[in-house]
Amino acid sequence: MSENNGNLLTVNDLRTYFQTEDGTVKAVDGVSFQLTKGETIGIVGESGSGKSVANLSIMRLIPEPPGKIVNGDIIFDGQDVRKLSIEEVRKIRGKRIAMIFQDPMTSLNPFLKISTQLMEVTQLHLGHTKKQAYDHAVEMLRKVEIPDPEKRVDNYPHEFSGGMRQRVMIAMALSCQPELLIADEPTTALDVTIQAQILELIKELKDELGTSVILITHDLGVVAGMTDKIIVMYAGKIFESAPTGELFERPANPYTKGLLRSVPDPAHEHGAPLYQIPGLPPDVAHLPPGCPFAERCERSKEICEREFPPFVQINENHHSLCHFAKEVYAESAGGGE
Amino acid sequence: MKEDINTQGDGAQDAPVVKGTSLWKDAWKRLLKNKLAVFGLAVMILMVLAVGLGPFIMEWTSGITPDYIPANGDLIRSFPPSLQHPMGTDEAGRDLLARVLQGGRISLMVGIISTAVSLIVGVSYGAIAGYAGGRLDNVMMRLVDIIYAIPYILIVIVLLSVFGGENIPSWIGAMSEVFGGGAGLNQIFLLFFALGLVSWLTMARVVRGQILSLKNEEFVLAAKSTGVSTPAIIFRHLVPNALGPVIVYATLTVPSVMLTEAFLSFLGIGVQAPYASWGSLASDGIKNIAIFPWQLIFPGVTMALTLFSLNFLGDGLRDALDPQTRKF
Amino acid sequence: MLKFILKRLLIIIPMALLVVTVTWGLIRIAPGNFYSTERKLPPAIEENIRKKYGLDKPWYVQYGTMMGNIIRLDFGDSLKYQGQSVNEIIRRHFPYSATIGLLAYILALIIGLFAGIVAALKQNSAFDYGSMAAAMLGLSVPNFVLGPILVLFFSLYLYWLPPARWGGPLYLIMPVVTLAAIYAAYIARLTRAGMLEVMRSDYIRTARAKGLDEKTVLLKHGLRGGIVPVVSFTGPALASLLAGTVVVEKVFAIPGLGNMFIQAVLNRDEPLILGIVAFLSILIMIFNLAVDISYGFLDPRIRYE
Repeated sequence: MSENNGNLLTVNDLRTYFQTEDGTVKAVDGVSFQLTKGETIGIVGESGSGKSVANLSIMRLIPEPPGKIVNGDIIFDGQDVRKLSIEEVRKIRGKRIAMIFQDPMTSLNPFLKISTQLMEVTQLHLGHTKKQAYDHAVEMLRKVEIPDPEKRVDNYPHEFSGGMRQRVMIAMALSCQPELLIADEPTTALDVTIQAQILELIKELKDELGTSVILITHDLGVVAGMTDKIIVMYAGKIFESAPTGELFERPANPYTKGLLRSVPDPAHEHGAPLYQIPGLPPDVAHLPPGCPFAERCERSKEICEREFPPFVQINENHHSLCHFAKEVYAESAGGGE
Repeated sequence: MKEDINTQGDGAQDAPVVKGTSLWKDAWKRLLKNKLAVFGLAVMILMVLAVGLGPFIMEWTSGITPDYIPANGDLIRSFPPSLQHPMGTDEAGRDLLARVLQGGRISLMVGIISTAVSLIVGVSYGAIAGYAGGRLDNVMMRLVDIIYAIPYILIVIVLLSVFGGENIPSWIGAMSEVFGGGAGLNQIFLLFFALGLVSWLTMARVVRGQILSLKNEEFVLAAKSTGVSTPAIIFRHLVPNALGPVIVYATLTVPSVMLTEAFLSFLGIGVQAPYASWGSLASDGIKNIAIFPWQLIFPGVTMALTLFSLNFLGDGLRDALDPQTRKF
Repeated sequence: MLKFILKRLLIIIPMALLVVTVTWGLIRIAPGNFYSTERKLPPAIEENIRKKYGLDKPWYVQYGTMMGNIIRLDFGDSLKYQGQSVNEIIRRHFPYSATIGLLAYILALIIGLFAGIVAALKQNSAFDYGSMAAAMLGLSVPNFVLGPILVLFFSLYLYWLPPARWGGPLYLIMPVVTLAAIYAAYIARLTRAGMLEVMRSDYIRTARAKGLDEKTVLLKHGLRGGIVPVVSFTGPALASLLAGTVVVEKVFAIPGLGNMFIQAVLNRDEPLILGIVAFLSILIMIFNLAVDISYGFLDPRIRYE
């Protein structure tokens, strides 16, 4: 297979807009990133930052209308997904790129048995017979550590707990050994203890199968332990991208710093109130001309309100969208605040 | 807290604060964006104006009244549409346009009065059953099931004969007095109420469902804990919150009762001569369909157009009031 | 499951008796009776008749006798059609109504489901607008207007179809179409709304993310959830179909049960009214039970206790 600079996925200047009664919502506005084979990246942002829309765009799953990918290249293994026919995209969906969604309660079809839902993927993409597909489904359930898989495979989704359902989703997503797994807030709807288990499971399976992963979350704590690279999104734009370690140690963007400060740290500040970024995410239908974060930014200057910030390259792998990126980066070196 | 309380001050248009449009204003705006609903609304306004003022204008300009019968001795008095009689004439030679306009008054009044009655009975019944819950709710809803199983024609006929003629309740008589009174009109007003009294069952179910899901909300607990009386909780706190589905269902009840009235008039149970409604006019027209088809077609089409508009309006209202169906 | 069905079947009996009781009460509340609507009879004969039918006894005795008979499924003889038992009348006239009603519902289901699904799939297309406008028309044209217009066109102008009465299959076409129109319209609208709602749900997104084609997504994943509203509509619809046949029977001069019932009500033919009401209410309750059972096949989350 032809490789594209060793990248499995290259997204270049992706723009996905929605037409609403309120005007054009630029949900994703100029997003670019690369992903190599076996790599795991985290995309972090508050709700409405465009992180889910970006990934649905990769799968061409944006409901159209009202949505539309208006610009950008999505190169998956050398093919531009945007230029493929819908039939060709379907051959990629579920087989080479699979997805896990936020709410396992509603993401599985309540009307169909688990077996049916698992089998149809391999029957479609791997040409399994019914028998093969059934055995494979049981095998996948065992892989995601569902107890008694031979019996459970014939159950309906409502007969599983939330965590178990997410395991089923993972089993379904990994049935065809996809090259890329997109996990969209896979743990948000789950209890804290279950969250850790599910993350651990994803980690194990991706190592075992060599799958690349895009992990979407609003929680920096989730991505810390398992990603190679993190992209921070805000108002449809990438605010910062850096290798995981560097981003945590030396953020170069005030927004990232704010996010980091709002992660609870048990070793620190006993009794002190948890930090919260002031204000609300902006209305993406009516963005101000300047930096979309300016209003909520602690170090906002007059230029921030007036001019859109540049995407500053800090070093080879570290970029930040800020008028003062270099200063923020320098300040971070001193150990944060 | 932080010192950033100034975030809302500047930049009015991009302020992240939710704008203070009320639910109703918002719904109205969305309704006006719906072309079909606006079409329905426009036709209904025109229809109300036409049946309200039309007969006066006709009498004033051409002297034609709904009851006017030409004095000539022609054997056949049904004339096809012409300039003088745009919808033709009926069997007795009366101008059909004038009859349709006058019949429209009764048909539209059926829609309004019967729906109002079904609204009052259904909302009260459903609200009480839903709020009371338990055994009372069970008994009340079983009663609804039973009434549901009895053909409404029977109930209407019984109501008409029990309260008809001499036994007319005085307040119904008083209402019909406003429009001229008389035994015939009394009976028509009684019909309005009878139709309302057979159309409230679904409304009661809708309201009960709403109340059931609302009654454990915190604002109800808050009202309870501050000592608000039960009727006040039901009718001041709960019912207004269930208003959206109620209005939607009510707008769909209007065409449905009009259809029922027409159906009863068709069977000869509803509006009786010398009064007319679209239903009774169409029913008269059916007899002559082979030779004077316009006598069915004009009242039928007028009625269908009205129901068509009302249905579109009801659909539009539902979309406007139900935020779930809002687009992304 | 079996227990649930048995329980519901058992409830039908007291419910039907209650319906009959209320109906009987209604007939008795209304002033006058069968004989006051017929031509005046000499007092002596009327007295005899009153005795024969037990009308001289106090109301609770009459009620008791009536209920006793009904529990034995004996509704007695019609007052109007002398010498004919109510059971016989129902047996003779119901098949007409049932034939038209069932055929109409099947036709409505075929048209409604097809139009609704396609309209939802091609939302905002010409087909969507066209079929929804047609559905709205179907809801707005009263069937006693539609029927005669069909007759006018197909029988009186084109001479294609017989205008009325009961005969071969050709005689069925217009009554069935007339009756089906409003139900097809309703089902099309329900199906479209249900499908649109379902097609927005998360599990449909999951199905698409698996790479399934639209046809599979729709028919395998969407349809079941989408037609739930149609199934709940079926119970009341079948019930009202039986009443709806009244108009069609009248317009096309078909000797069905609906027509019979209206005549019975207008004639105050008490045994016949009670018999038909009891029969129809039991039928309606059985339909509703069948609908509730079919939910279970459609939605595995529903349990019967």
